[in-house]
Amino acid sequence: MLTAIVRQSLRHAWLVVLAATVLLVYGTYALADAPYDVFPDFVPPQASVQTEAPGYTPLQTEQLVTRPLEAVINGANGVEAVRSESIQGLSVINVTFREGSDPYRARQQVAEALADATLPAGVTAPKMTPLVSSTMDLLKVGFVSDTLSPMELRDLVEWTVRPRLLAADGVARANVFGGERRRMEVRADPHALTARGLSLADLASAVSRVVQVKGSGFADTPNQRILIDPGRSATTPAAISDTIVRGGPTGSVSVGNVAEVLEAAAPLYGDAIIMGRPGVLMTLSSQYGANTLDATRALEAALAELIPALERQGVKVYPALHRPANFVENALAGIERDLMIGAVLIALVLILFLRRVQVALVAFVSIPLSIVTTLLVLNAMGQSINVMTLGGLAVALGVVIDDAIVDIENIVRRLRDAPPDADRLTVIEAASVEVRAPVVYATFVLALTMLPVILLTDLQGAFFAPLGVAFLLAVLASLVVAMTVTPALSLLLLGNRNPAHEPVLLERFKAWHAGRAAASLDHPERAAWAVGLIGLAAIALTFALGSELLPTFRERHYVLGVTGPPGASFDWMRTTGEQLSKRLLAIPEVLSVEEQSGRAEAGEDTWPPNVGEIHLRLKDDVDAAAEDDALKKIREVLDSTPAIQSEAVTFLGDRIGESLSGETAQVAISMFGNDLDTLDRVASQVVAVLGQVPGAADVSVGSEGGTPMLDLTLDPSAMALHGVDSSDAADALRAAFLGLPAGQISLADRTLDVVVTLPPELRQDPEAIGRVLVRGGSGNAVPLGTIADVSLGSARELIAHDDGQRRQVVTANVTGRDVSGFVAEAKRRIGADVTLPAGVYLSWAGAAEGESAATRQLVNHVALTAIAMVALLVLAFGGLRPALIILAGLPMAVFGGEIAAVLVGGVLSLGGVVGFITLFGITARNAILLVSHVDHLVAVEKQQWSRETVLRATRERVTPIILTAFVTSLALVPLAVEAGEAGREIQGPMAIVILGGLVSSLILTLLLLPTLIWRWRHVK
Amino acid sequence: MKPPTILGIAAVGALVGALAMYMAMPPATPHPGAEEEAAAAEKAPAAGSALGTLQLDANTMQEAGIELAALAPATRAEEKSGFARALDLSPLAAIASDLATARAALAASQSEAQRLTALAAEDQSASLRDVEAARAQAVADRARVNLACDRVALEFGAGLRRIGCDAIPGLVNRVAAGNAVLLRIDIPDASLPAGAAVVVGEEPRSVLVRVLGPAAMSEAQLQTAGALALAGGRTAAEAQVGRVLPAYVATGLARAGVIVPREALVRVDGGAFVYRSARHGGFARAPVDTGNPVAEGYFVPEGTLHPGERIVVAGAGTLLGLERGAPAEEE
Repeated sequence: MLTAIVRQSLRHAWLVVLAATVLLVYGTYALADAPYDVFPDFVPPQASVQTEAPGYTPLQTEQLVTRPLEAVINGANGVEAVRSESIQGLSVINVTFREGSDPYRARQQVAEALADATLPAGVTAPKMTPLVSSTMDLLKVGFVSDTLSPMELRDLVEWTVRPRLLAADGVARANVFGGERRRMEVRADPHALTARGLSLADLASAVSRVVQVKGSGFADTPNQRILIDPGRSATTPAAISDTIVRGGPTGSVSVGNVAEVLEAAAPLYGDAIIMGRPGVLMTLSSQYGANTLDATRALEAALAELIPALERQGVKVYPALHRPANFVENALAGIERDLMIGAVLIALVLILFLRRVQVALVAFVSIPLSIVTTLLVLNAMGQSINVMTLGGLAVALGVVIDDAIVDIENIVRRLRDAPPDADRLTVIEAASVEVRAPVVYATFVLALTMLPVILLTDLQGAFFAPLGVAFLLAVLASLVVAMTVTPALSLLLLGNRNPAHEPVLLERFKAWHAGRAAASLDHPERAAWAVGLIGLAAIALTFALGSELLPTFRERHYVLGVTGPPGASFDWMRTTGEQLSKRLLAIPEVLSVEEQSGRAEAGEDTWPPNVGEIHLRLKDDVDAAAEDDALKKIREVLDSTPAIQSEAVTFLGDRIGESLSGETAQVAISMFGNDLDTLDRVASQVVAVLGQVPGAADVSVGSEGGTPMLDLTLDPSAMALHGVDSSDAADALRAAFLGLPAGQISLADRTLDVVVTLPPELRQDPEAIGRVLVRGGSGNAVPLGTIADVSLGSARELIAHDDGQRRQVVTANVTGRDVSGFVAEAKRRIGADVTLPAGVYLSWAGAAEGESAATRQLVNHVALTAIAMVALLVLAFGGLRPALIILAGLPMAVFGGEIAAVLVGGVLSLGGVVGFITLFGITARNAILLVSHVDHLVAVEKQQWSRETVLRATRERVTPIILTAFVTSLALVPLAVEAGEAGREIQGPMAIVILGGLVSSLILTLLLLPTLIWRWRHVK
Repeated sequence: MKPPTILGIAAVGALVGALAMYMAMPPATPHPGAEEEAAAAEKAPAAGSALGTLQLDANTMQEAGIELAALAPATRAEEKSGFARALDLSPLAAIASDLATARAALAASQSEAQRLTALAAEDQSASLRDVEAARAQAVADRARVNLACDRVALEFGAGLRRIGCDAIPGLVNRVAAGNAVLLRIDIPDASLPAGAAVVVGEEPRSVLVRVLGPAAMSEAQLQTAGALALAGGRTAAEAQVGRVLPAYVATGLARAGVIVPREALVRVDGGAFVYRSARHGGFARAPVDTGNPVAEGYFVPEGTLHPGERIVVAGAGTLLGLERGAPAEEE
């Protein structure tokens, strides 16, 4: 079949070349509209359910809202994990579904399950937050003003800017933090109410009746239908004030008689600081499956239309406080640049070695054809073009070109050696077919080596499987190109030309090598020992290398988690945040700083007031070294800010950490048990031990107690005496501090909440709670302090669950050493120094556990594919011995890769491990081609099995081996040189490992492998 | 291959492996970042807590934005609050009218009885029977006068009765002219004896009134007995019938103390506290009674805190956070 393909391609050479040209042109146009993103979607299908429980404490939220919802959600199909947080007034449940689930179907199942939940009155219906992409953030925009009040600024952003930006393509959600949310307050005078025999509920009922909008229908006449407008509802303070609460023969009581009506600021749930001053922040999230770049540009176009009008109103806009598209653009541009540089270098080397532009062109054309074909297939599969797929292509460049080099080199050599009257087509066909079979075997071996990567699951699979798929597709595409386009182009361009001789330098090298190879053949045991010892050294070195799941990404954007003392108010956070922001802005490398604290409605971050997040963006011209220096300064500023816990991670690190463990830190230790106080005690012990482990940074506890809380203990006998009950007391308290809901005012472009509450001076002192008047059903009114004991206690601000179990968590980041080593030491120390009470157990998560899981999975896959590879080689070469000869080169390649890894830091990320896997394939490929060429000389050209035959086979393979090593290395050198820069954080270390391994495997292939072949290929 | 050659190759291989391991091994001490950790160890704790005192270094003091201020002296009496309501005195006008009528009748009947008694004594055109009838009429008229006076107490309260029956018509005239108003005062859990001073209204338009005595009926909603007081001047003009004004009564002797600003308070461990300068530097938490909120903050009776003492009025929340995060020193 292979022969037939090559033959037909040669017979219809022009057709083949035309088809290739059409493919190239079409692909280039089609790919212009392909989706580009920074990473593949790496977050498993999730749904987040938020339920507002106004006024509930965290414990009440947990018991009355979260637990019932968890019970119904856990029963839904396909649920992998359920994590929840219960905070003041809000229950948040994050549901993760099994990998591969359809996110829309999963959300449907959750929605159906929620319908079965029974929740207390007053709790709003559970809402599912919009479906967003893995990276979630699309843009963060800040607004500040010297002329507008916080309430006016918030109105402008919420009701003018937000609807416009939500309408942009690809935007799933827009949350607003900061400013003051306007509401209509009916501030009741308790004395006036009591004097008139009215209650707060009476007032709320009267107000809600007058603000609601009701329709009146229409009247039909013989000729016309007449619409009926019942008149506007009350929408102004004056109109509400005039509302009659109670009428009667002695006169009416209006709202204004017993209350003051005005527009005021609602209690804060979230706050924002923009560039060191209070402002309004809008965070925009992208839809699931949306193209980050396109959606960002659409947003920016919409914002650009609004900015002039906003500036005329005295608003300063910061349009890109966080712009993930920057990383996408930089990363893609960088890797595309590296690909181009690699391609240019390859072209130069080809011309240098092959000494004919036409020959170099035949080899070179396989690169764009393979890349375009691969990208078209990926696009058809629904994959985005991201740094992982481009990285796979970059790594595959050497293999892609090798297919063509093997082919063209053999064609050139055969043409050079052919008699002048030989038929060129026949020579070219024979030369192509000669190398086709071993190349196909080599390609299958390469595919097998990449299979463990493609079969990875979870987070590591989400990242690396696309890389593996892109690599494999590129290799397969190059195989097809080598069987069709390369022979066809060779015929068209070389059919009438004589190939040039090899460069003098190469000939001299080959002569030198021949001498060395001959000497090595005389001492096969030395070669065997060398391979064995190097293998042992490689194994030893493996245990000495550190490891991490993923490297730090050069986004020039950091997320600083800031946690104030338990119970800290927004005022405290704002004061501290302003000072912190100004100090961060003073760092020369910093471009912008914004902070959000608390939460927004249906937002992704649902924190209590004392928790915030600072997004810090560095200037675009900051390089890797300057970025490290800036991070050091940032950490110094954070560490010197008193009374906060803090951590500094990159934005992608933050998202990856959250998807791994629900925490943003690199290491997360969860404690599970029933009693929260016991969990707190264990957590404090763990913190003490963890802080002593070298490399520990940002050690903190997830949720602490100590938030002050006023406890009310009602006295039943006193209540009976005064004719009130507990619900009367609860209503009075709610009115005093939260406000009794009294409807909404609907305007043309916005809605305003209306609440009945007390004047601010009556609710500014928590201890004055005892003076709140409680009114019973019979009209009695009694101060709350008369029927209840009021005492100050403490509570926790957050209660976390994991799969229904109460959970406390201690988190830490790691600096100055590898994460896995840190975790191993931490486990040892905690196991020795922390005693766990009965019913409490620990669980480790975070990047280290992710890395362990990924490595275990990879090792399992590699073991299975190794068996398959050996089987394939045995079948291809007719025995176990040639298979082992081919595999004997692997330790040498590994050793070289490990030395390269040591020279650049000694820490191996999963990218480096994938580099080793790629190296296996490339090394095995060279070995397969050498062994099969020896077999070809013996079996097809009827050469005698002898030293000379082996040396001749080796000599004839030196050029393609050297050329392959050179072009593969050149394709990877730009990636390796820019390792650590944006977009090359994963591919750079991969390239370094491959480069190191190529150097050592070159020595093996040229010197040791021929010796092994001679000694063991055919044992007499 | 000869054994020495084999051994030689083995030795070289082992040396290479050992060299590789040495290069790759993380150093025991120090390691990258160790300098930072050492510096951090020297720097921390920025806050130390020994025997309840929080010590801060100069940098932390500056970053925490700590501000101190001296406590201002103040005098306050504990007071309770309720409300005062102007009463409708129309029934009192009717009583005054009845009283005047009864008095006029009494005067007439008394004169008639005296005249007839004199005539009977002179045995002139007045029978004994006429004299007894006139006397009986006078008694009846007196009873009517007494009833009118008692109605004041029965309908309004004994407190109003104490101004005297003769003053009632004058009071009605003053109220009708807008120069006086009768207030009913209800303050839960407070005793309001006759003569007690009550402040009615909000500053700066409040006025001091004296309690006349108890009201006739209790306040059903608040379950208070109620007291009556008279007010004149501006209050009479503003407190129309049905108007409710706040009322305050001091429930104890005035006490000396200090005013603690709200910004100085932190609430923790079941109580409210302020941070004050400790004797040997640093800050110590002092408990505060928050039972007396006032406009400027909280009135704290002298005891724990004294006038002139310096407390933290900005940054108290930060100090609390530092105190919780500070490691306890070994004793």
